[in-house]
Amino acid sequence: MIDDLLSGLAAILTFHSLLLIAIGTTLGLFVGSVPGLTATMALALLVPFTFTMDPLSGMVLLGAVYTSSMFGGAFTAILINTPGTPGAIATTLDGYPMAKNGQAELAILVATVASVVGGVIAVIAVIAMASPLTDIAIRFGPAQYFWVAVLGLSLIAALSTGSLFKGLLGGGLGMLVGTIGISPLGGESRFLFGYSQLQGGVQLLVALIGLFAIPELIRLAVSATKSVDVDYSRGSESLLRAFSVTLRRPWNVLRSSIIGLVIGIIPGAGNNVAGLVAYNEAKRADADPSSFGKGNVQGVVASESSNNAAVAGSVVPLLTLGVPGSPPAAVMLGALMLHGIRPGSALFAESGTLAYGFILSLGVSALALLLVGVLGGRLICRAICAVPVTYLVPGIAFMSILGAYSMRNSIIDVFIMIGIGIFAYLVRHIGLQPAPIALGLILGPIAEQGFSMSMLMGGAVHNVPIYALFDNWMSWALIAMVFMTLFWPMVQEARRKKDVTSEGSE
Amino acid sequence: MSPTVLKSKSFALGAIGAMLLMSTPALADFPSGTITYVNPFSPGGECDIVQRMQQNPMREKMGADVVIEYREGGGGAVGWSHVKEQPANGYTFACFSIPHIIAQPMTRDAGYETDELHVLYTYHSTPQVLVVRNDSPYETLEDLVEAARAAPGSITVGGTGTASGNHLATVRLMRAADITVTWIPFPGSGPTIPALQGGHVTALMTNSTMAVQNSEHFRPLAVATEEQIDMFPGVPTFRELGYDVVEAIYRGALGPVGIPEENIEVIVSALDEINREQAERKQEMGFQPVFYGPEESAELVERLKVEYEELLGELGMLK
Repeated sequence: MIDDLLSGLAAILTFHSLLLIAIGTTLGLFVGSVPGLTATMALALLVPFTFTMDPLSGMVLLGAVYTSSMFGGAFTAILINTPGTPGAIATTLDGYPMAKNGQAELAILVATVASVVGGVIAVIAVIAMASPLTDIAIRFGPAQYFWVAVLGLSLIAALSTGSLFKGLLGGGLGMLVGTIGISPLGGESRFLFGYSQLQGGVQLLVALIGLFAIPELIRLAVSATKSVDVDYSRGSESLLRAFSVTLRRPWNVLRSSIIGLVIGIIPGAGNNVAGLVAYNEAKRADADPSSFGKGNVQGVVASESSNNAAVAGSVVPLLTLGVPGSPPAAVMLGALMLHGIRPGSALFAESGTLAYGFILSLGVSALALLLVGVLGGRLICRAICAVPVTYLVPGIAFMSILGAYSMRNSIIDVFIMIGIGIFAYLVRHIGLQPAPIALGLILGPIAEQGFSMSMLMGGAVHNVPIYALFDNWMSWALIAMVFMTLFWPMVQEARRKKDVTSEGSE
Repeated sequence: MSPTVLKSKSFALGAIGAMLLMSTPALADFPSGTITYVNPFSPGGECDIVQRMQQNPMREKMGADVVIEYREGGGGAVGWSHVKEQPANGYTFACFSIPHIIAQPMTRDAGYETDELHVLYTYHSTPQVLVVRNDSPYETLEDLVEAARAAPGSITVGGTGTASGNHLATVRLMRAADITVTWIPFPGSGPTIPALQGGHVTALMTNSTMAVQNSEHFRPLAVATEEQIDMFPGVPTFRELGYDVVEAIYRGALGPVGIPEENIEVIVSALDEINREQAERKQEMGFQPVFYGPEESAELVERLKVEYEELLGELGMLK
């Protein structure tokens, strides 16, 4: 293994590979920071270019684009309150308030540092423990998927800054929208209203643009004032400060990276949920949870370090099992197959240089983000601040429409995006936030699938199908986490009140 | 300029455009513009892999740009309903898979009918294979069948979706062996692999590609082909074991009905040449290359229509 590791390292520390990483991270940053351009699409377009390369170079390029686009999503999350990738939903929660407070550049630099650290920690962990980590992916059955989805949904309780009821209402709405299309198990049509185009359901990214970008655009257009303005008279933020802010709470970075890594391994659920779970844990562990959602920099750190750690996590099942953990990973699997390479444990034995070289290149790509992110981030930040609202609004609107259309080349998707956007703008006034709706949309289908499949399997194994949800210690561990997420805020509240009263009695 | 003038002017332009469009198919120099090769599935899927392999050779052989356009959704139905509506000039065609294009319109309002699509060429099949984990107590198909007889429904067989190739092969096995197993539909072929490895299902009815790629962990019990195939040396067919189960997923290219013959010929000969050049490589990946032109493809579709109607009817799934 050490030999393979070293030869892998030697293979990627060549001018050729480093150039590919530089190209890949720059491209990925662009793709990730434009709402609607997705990593999946960019990778699919790049695959034919990798035909002429050797397999490792091809994978290095694809991996760099993937890593960097996950990070690029943070820019839009911070600057225009729109997660450029689903993984960046949690970044909007504190990143955007920070930008509103005039700390946009600091938020971006912190996001960069957190992404780099998260990515590097995860790569080290993957190299050290690829095979035990694979076990996590294998042990996850339908019942565990169901409970992970429930855990994700219980985050609504923690994420709702206003009323819990409104949070749950939003989550429910999201889940309802998630049922549109052909049902995953039985293949029945649901809520098509006579439009055969709706068979594909509501595309997640189309909904995200609608939920986040459109209301922001309407608000910008209505108020004609920018929410994001950085005062450059004091000069730019220094990278050193970003490092010290990020590493001030080393436990937060470490915890978030581990959460991202582990959740990223679970195929299907991973990348989208990791940031939110890590955010929730950071909030719970903080001495002052109420400061989250108002521009607490630790929220950005948690979200970004975990969603970049999830990238490395999602390549574990890809390389060891041939199971893509995310849509971009699916394209990378296709590229491997086109090169005649079969993933699996034999990959590590037979083409160790390729396997380790590729994993290491994700780490190098993560480090490259530091350079690309700082330069690109400052540039984008200044550009957004310099462009007047009258150009900014039509510009973003144009990109949003283009992005929604390009997802499936469908004009219906554009209408869905606008419809969801107007709806989201209106309901924001009665306190319905976009994050719970997005969470419901992501997790509803996972919960449904996990539940129905568990029932089918339970019927085969037990007399009472529902036992299948409770017959495994991993299920119970997840159930315990659900309860903690749901009731911890109440415990904290009770404690706080007790403190107040005891102080008062003294 | 008054609105009426503008209107009549654009009408005239439109008429010229329509005439041009109508005359294009008759021109001998097809293709003279960009060809759109629709992928009705997601990036990274089996259609995507094959289309990306074909894209560059097609550009060279047809002397035109070939663009792959993603229109995913509804298990391919969104893409095929789109292609059906496109001008039948040969500039737009899509990757297809059978049983999808036959079973979907039978079981629901899929937005298209099988007869509204013209299958131009079929380039490979992925025969169905029943696999178990390497350490499974079921050494042979007979072991599994007997276990299913002893406790009906206790054996779980996983695969992709409902009324899919995996599912229909399993249904055929249940019919042929007169047993009941519990069908577990997964939302794609990817998640089935860890499900079998983790022991969440007893067996998988899967595509030959998946069985080949995971051969180090999975043991094939039987192949749903007419004769044994090179990909699985020594693995018996269901027929050899006494169960009449033949099922495969077929993939190829289809367009709207009414593409001029000459243009079909151009497309088919390009696809056929490429397919023969790539046959060996495809076999290594677990695809079984076939070389069906329009007539043979139509025969395949007609034969399977009858069989699937019967199977789906028995399952009570016909709309």
